[in-house]
Amino acid sequence: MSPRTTRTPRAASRTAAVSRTAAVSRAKATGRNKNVVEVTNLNVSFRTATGVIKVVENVSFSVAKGECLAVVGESGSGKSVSALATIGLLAKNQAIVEGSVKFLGEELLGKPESYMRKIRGGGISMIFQEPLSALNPVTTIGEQIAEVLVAHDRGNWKTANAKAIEYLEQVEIAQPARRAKQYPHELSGGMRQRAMIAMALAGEPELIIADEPTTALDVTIQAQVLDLLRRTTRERGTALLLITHDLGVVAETADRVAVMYAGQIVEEGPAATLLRKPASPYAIDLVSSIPSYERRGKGLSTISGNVPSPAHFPTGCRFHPRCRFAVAACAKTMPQLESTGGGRAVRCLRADEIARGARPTSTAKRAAAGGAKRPVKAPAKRKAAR
Amino acid sequence: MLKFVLRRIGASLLILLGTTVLIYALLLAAPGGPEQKYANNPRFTPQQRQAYVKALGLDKPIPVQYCRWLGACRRDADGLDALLGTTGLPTILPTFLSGVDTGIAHGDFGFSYENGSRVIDRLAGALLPTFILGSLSALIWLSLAVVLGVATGLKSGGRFDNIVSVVTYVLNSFPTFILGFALIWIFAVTLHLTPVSGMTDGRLSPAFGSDAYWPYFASQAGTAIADLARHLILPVVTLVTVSIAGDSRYVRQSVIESMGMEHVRTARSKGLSSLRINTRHILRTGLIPFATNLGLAFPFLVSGALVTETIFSWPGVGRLTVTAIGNLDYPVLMGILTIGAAAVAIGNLISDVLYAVLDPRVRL
Repeated sequence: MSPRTTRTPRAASRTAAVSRTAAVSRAKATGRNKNVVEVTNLNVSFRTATGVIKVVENVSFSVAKGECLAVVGESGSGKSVSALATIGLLAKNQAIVEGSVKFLGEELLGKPESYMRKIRGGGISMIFQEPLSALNPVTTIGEQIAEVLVAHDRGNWKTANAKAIEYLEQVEIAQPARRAKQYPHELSGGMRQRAMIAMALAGEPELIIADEPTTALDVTIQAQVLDLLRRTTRERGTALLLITHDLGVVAETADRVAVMYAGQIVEEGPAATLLRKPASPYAIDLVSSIPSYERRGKGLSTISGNVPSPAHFPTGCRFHPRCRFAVAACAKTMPQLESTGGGRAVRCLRADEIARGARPTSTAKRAAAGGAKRPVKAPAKRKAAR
Repeated sequence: MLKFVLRRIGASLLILLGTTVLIYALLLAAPGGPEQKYANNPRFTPQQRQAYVKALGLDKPIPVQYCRWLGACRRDADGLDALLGTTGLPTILPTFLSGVDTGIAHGDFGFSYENGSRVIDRLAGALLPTFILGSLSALIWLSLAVVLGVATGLKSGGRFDNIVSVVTYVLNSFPTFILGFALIWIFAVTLHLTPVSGMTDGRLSPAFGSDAYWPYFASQAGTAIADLARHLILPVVTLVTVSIAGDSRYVRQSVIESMGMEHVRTARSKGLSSLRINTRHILRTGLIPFATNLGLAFPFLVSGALVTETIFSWPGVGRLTVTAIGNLDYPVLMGILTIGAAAVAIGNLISDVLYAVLDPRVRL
């Protein structure tokens, strides 16, 4: 809400007070533990032909009831793997998952498959990226929703099929009864993803993990689907863990953001403040790479280089070879994720200096620090970014 | 769907026509001819040889011979006149229009060079034994292949998978004729558990398919079926053994492929039971390609197994083929090959229709 409203200050403060009490009573109703899921020091390694490779390192995050946490990062940053580890979908013979995943206060790691089966779909649901391949091509939409209800003892096939139509209606699909009898290929992309959302809602879960839910959709449909996802989860008080590489999606949807790079969280905080004033060099570059009206005609800002492969993570700070602020120490010391107040945390040795307005280091110094040798026209770009 | 089937039948007839041209040309291009079997007979004079060749119509140019076989040319006329029937209408038309009843277009497969019997009778006599042996073997090996393929695919890399892989590979590597004779030697000659060969026991039953057989079958059905079953054991085991490896590996592979599909991960994320994930999500998609193999197995039921039938003296199409090749019995061979080609076309059609029925994404 913008600070300037047409209402009188008194009326405004009254509504604020009312909504605050509502929030409090809601928190009380939910009971002692407001976090639906708490992931602490999650480590995921994969057994490969060349040895064990750690792809996610000491990742911690939590999502509260009705809240949306966005995990942002480039492809290969470990965000999807973290999500799959949370719901226990990584193949046990390939992945080693360590740390703690607490769902409603209950530790999930190490729980038997029979227990996880109850959690999956019933407690934690997942929405996948490409609905055409994520939906069973030879089973009707209605049956795919109904089987969630049957699997979680929420009715027999007859009632479940009727309920499936209700869920399709809730995700605003026109002619739900007809759609329920159709196969995924007969639906449009947006409708398929809506059906996926209906499937995720069908188990009435406490947490929905959406792994790049809008990546495969047209831009015009993206906003609708995102809006639907956010609305339905907020109405039900469902926690939403949104995995994305699209900062536009984050700005529209998320309450809080965790930025991941090379298997680690490098920055986290409330979406509004983090996007307005990112603190870690990686987040700064990410945010400035969003195309915007102010920078029109100036060319898109990019981050040079690629995400390192988990088999060859650099020493020290994992971002230092691509970092515009890197100094010699960055190649030696791995920075820790440190709280900077206001619910924010940053993983950067020079976080304080950057906050005080440090300029990017010169190319020569960065070369000495083992960084990119290619000269970067960063200063001009950064000026534009401000 | 109906339109598709009709269009496919039309296309198949054209393909069939092309196929018969090709096999006719290949057969006649092969060195020698049916008269060659008398080549070493000193009493077979060149005059007799010429008369023999002429009587069979083998002295005509190959296109004319083919035209006669097809039924587009009359046998009792030469040149362009042969294209018109006795009524003056084209010869290729049905008998009631053209007045001609020779050639395959009029349902006449001709006569065997070997003994002058009608080709259609020889084929009819051989089809039932081949169908009995082929359908029983195919039923067993296809269902075993599905069971083994699914079991090994769902737990690929496990101990059972490894054992099955080794065993099926070893069995599959046996040449049919070695396996067949080995089985005969072990189970028939040494252990006396099964008959050596044939389809019926000559001491208690008339030959299968002979005039006396069916009355005998009707009067002593139990004995006759038991006798057939005993004779079926070894050839069925042989066919199942040499065929199962390929199909079970095929099923295994498509199950593994299906398991890695994204929708299976979705099914897991929904908390479904592993039974439902396996049946509804993995096998329902993974077995569709195999269902089409069923259609492709159809020609086997018609054209039979050459080596197995020969080893076990099974009076089927396979053995008839081998005999006919030995005699260069063109009419019999053409009959077998034409029916075989038609069976392939029908099998493909069955596959396509089956695919469309099983996979809602495929619309015909």
